[in-house]
Amino acid sequence: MKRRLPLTITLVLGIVMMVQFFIPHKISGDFFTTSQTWARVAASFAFILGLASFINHHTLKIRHKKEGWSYSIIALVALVVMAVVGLIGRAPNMSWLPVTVQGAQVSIFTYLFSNFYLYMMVPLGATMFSVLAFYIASAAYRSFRAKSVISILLLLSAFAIMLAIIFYNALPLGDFGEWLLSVPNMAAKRGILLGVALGMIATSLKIILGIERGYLGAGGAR
Amino acid sequence: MILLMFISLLLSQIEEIETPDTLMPSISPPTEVTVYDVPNDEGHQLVVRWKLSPDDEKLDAYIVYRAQEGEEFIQVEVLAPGADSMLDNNDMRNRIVEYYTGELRSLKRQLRKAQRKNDEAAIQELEASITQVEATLAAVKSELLQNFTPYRYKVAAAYQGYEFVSEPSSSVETAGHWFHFGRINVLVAMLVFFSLVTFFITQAKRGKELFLRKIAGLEAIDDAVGRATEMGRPILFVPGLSTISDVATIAALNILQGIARKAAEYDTPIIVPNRDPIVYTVAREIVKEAYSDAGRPDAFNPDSVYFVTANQFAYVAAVNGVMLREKPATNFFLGMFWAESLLLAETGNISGAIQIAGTDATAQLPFFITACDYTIIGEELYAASAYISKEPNLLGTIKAQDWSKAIIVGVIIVLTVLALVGLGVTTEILTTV
Repeated sequence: MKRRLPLTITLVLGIVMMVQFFIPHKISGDFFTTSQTWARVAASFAFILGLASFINHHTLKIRHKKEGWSYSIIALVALVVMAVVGLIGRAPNMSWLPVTVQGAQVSIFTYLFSNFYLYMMVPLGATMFSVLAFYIASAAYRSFRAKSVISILLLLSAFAIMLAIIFYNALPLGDFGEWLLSVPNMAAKRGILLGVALGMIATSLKIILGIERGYLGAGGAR
Repeated sequence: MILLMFISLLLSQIEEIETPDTLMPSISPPTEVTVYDVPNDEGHQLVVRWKLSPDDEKLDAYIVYRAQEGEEFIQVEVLAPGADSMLDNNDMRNRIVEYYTGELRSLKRQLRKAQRKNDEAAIQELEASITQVEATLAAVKSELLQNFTPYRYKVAAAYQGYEFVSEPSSSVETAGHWFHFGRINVLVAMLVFFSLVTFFITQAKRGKELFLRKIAGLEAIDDAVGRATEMGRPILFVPGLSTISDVATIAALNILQGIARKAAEYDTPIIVPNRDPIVYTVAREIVKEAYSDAGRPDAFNPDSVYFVTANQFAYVAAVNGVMLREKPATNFFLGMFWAESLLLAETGNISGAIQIAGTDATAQLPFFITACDYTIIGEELYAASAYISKEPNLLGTIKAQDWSKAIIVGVIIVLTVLALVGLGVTTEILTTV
């Protein structure tokens, strides 16, 4: 029963959603919208489980004084502060401790919430993203070492594209860089995408028909 | 002299009170107004087309009118000169109805409050507002296009306040449709694919051996888990950063099941940090069940599968921290990845772990190929569970996949050749299918 019920639901809803794709009628559209709404409702419950996991994970780390446990304190404090500030600040008719921001009066909680987000979250995210530039350089160095014919071809192609972009129209390369991107590169990409699309359909079909059960846990494919 | 002045004044007055008809400019109205129901939709949409007025360049606008059978025409749209068609639907009207319905609900709530307080002045004011909003709402609702109701249209060319109206169109009804004929190609392709799947599954069940080429990334999974066991270090499994509705995530979770079972058998710790709460709950169940299946439910550490954060780069920072602190011997990056792919893979590379990555995101594949030891490319990710389990049913679908791909490639080649020899219809098929 533990397996049969979810598999039956998957089969029925899978077929219904497949049929729904071919029916443009309002009833079909409404069914799709309602199912999407239910999916969002279910997701919000999962968030509670996620939150419990987050708290549990960091509490255990602090309790057992695992390596880097002090960061867990920061994570938990940040969670509480943002939640409190956000919940109070977003409450309707909240006018506690008003502050003036650009001529308008807002609650200090709203002010703090947006400041924490804009001046802490956003720069921290941008910092992580910026690291990518250095990683690309080190990865490119490894890839472009001319060890074999294939890596020499890769190096030459990359070099041609770089020159075409940096010295736009200044070198007698013509549209070679553009051609490399839009013909051989695109051909390979489309080949992969074709396989991916079929793989997606096959996996979906396997799940709908109950052939693929690995995602249900033990028991594997059967 | 005075008499002459009086006569000239009188004449000028006469000119001013001449009827507009005598001064009306000569503008030709639009012609051939035709209306048709939008195909393959849920109804409530009509397309109106007309032939432009020969004086189009002089015009201020085109005004479109609509009428139900036996009723007066109402204005539905004003369009700039040059416009020769319009889509009449309820999109904007529905938004207005939604707005006024909310407004009405709010006013009624305020009225109930005022009634509780016996505030007569407020009650009167609110009742008046409610009546006004209800009237507006009724007016907007009356303009909504209804299915199975015949409508006629006419188009006026507007010029300096005058309107030069076309002949009305014939009556047309709008209706919701029960089949999307534009998707018939998808249906045919699906039926062909389903037939192939059924055929190959039957073949596999009858015991026919189905050949699968070697996939290095999948072959290396056992060795990678073994390496972690020998080194006494954990395995890190990242199931992508997408949600459970992404097929790549489900494919990754299918692989997790096999890896977790092996980890349980070898008593090797496995760490599964998650970005999506639903993926977290599913991954947790998979790992837990895998430990039970391996006969070691007691060895399952509930804290090994956990939710990190929904923020992309905060998640990357946390996972990179795990890689540098816990020093996993093996890293698996399977599923859907975006800009974080190289951040994760390079950190893993620096930490000295053996890395197996797999994704269907073509933009991220070069990063994984560069920084990881093995990369499962595109469709190989979806073939993984069949490859690992060797289950006949699953192998059958892989064969069907390959044959479908061969058919598609064959069709593309044939159509391309036909297009090159000048058969125009093939170009149309290639660009639309």
